[in-house]
Amino acid sequence: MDLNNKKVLVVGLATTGIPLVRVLKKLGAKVIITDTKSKKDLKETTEKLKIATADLLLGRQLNSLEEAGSPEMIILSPGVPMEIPLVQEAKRKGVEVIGEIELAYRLMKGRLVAITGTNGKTTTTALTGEIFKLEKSRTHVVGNIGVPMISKVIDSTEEDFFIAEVSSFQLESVKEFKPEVAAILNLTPDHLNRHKTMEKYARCKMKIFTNQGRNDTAVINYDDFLLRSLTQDLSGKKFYFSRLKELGEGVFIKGEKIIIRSKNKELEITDKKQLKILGEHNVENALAATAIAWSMGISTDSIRKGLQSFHGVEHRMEVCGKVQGLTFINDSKGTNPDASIKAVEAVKDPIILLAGGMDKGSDFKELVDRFPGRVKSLVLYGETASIIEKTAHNKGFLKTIILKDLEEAVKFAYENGKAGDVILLSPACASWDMYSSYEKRGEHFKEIFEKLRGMYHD
Amino acid sequence: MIKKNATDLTIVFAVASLVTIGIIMVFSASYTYSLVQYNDGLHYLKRMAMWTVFGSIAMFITSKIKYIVWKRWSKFILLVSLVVLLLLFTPWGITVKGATRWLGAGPIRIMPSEIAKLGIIIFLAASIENKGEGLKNFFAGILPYMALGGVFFYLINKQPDFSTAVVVIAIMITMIFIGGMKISHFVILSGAVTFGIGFMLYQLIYVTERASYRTDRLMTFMDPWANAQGDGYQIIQSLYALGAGGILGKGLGKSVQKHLYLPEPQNDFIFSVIGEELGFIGGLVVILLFMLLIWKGIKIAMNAPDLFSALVATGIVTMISVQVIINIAVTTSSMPVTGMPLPFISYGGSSLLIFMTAMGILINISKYCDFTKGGTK
Repeated sequence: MDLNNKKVLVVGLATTGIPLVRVLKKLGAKVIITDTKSKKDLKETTEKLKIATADLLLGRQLNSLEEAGSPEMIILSPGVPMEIPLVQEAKRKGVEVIGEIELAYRLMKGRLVAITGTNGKTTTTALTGEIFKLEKSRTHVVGNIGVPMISKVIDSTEEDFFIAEVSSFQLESVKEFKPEVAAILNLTPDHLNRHKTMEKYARCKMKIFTNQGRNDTAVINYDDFLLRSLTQDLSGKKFYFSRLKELGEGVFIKGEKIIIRSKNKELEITDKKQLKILGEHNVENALAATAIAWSMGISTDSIRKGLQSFHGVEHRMEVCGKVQGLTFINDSKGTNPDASIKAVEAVKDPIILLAGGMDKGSDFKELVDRFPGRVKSLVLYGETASIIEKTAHNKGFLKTIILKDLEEAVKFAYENGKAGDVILLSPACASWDMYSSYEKRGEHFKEIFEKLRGMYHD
Repeated sequence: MIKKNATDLTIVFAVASLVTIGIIMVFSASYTYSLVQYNDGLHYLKRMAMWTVFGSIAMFITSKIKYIVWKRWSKFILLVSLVVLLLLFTPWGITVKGATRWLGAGPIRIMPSEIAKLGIIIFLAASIENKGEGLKNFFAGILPYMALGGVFFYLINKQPDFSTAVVVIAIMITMIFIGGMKISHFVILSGAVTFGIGFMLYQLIYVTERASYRTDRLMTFMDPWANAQGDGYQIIQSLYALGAGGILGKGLGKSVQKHLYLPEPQNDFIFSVIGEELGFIGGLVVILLFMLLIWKGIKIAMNAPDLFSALVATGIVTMISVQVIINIAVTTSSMPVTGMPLPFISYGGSSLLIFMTAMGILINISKYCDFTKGGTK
């Protein structure tokens, strides 16, 4: 792909912005940047990039391509909607608009695995990466998970492996993106109640398979009925995984064991009790990672070792430790009810659940349905606190309290809990009412935990 | 020779209405689903329209072919039915979601079991007429049909397509019964079939682990909500659709359930979308159209000029009624989920083509009926 002297407009300077601009400059492109954030907010970033002020169009949304100096190509950061006028104009005028992963794909060498889904993609991507690294030293775990794919493509060789977590946003703008193995883990509607959005969401997710050929593989969750029926007519090979059924071909659970069945051979990988990550949803993630690794020719030994040694992802059911017999678990990444349902189901001991956050219009009924026998009390804070409380009360769950913030919530839980209980932060909501990200929220939780531990340690 | 009757316009009306409802509803139900699956909202509509053209041509032609011709070719038709069923076991068989039910030739796929249904009707009618009183003899009369039924059942069930296999058996028993078998033989035969199918279900549920999905289906039937995300999913979404439709429906095109809640809304669960968009009234109209067709079919069978045509009409009527009953029972959760298209309405080219062909044959038979006598056989 020749970008030398090409005028390229980068829209949005998020996490991917810095490596993206660096790569573009390295390839000789003339880079122009636009972002709705102000010059002041982005000062640090722009200084790092050493971009001439004239090429920075910040603090507003551009209305026309001309304003951006009529670029020959536009690259969108993840999260920038395709509907903005600039993109629409570009499409009309035949100016190519692509996303960061599409560019990364065009520039990469080596083999690509892409993973998407509503829940579990970060864990599955991290776990798949862990398995690959045991056998392939040049494995890059990239995408939504933290490291933008673009930052690893420039020096890649045919020996490289990319394990990419991709969101529906990123998939929306792909054109040639063609993973050798592509996986959709599930298609549960997240914060999407209106069918129009669900339709678009599913269409974006399905794009992960669009360019796959005969020899590529689609890894699909057999237990997801909708997903299974939508994918019945793909051009590539299909390899299913299932937590509930023994499959003629695929990865599944038999007794307590994870089994690969392929071409009438049955291979036992590991007992599911030997997984370090907790909960049935993590068994599902382990099955997905196994299916992906097997499809890429990774040995069963490496798959076994990877599954048995993987400890999980930060902010996702992360066990912080114990104070006075109470276990603290950080699941700040549980930003929707579905994720929190899985968290609640994963814990065996009595739970004091800390929840609440920004209102996305979610429905918490199903979450409350999981409480009996699991959650003993519910401590709420943030925008959604009263909505969740009302849902709980309607369902007859009365042990609830609303507090000012996370810190008060943790303290209350700690003071009212007893040895053997689990204090679980799984908010079922986004963090943006009080924090800049779920990571920040999780870190705050861990800080409070460390403080408590410090106080009682001696 | 009596004077030929004119083309039966009641049948033409009922079929045309059902097919029109089918096209409109397939379009409405499949649009979103098709957009996600193929990035083309009209994928199913285009194919359905194409098959409707083929079906109409077939119906027109068969209504002009004198029904006696089918008798002459009955053995050959049976042979073709067997061959297409056997071809499924060759690389031409196409497997979708674990079942090999289609034969592929380029973009066109046909379902051999649909051809076999009509094939066996024609063969059986000719054969029973030939046998005459021989049908009263168990070993020479009934046993060969049991063997033939067994072969068809085996081949279709092997795909696997248990429900279509059962439909074939139901058609055969009805035809042999109407053909004049002894009541005692009928009791033995239906007893044997009930026992056989019961035994198979028992095997499937308690013994064979491979078909565990069918066990789950029965469990799911008892309580769909026990496994709402898994096997209960389809039926729950179907009930939501019917419930949301109420008496008058939400209006054409306004189904919510078709937007990726109800999987494959254009196929076996299209009646749920009809219920949601056109309400109880819409569902009732569809059922009444089927009843009109079935009533006409029975009248034709009763007044048919000879045993062969009476039996062909009987077989066709049975084929329609059994499928309609099973399909609507499944969508309303009155029986466990099993794949069964709604005649003329569900998406599916072979099904539409075969049903319209059968209607053509029925129309042709009606031309030779003597309706003045009010039933001969």
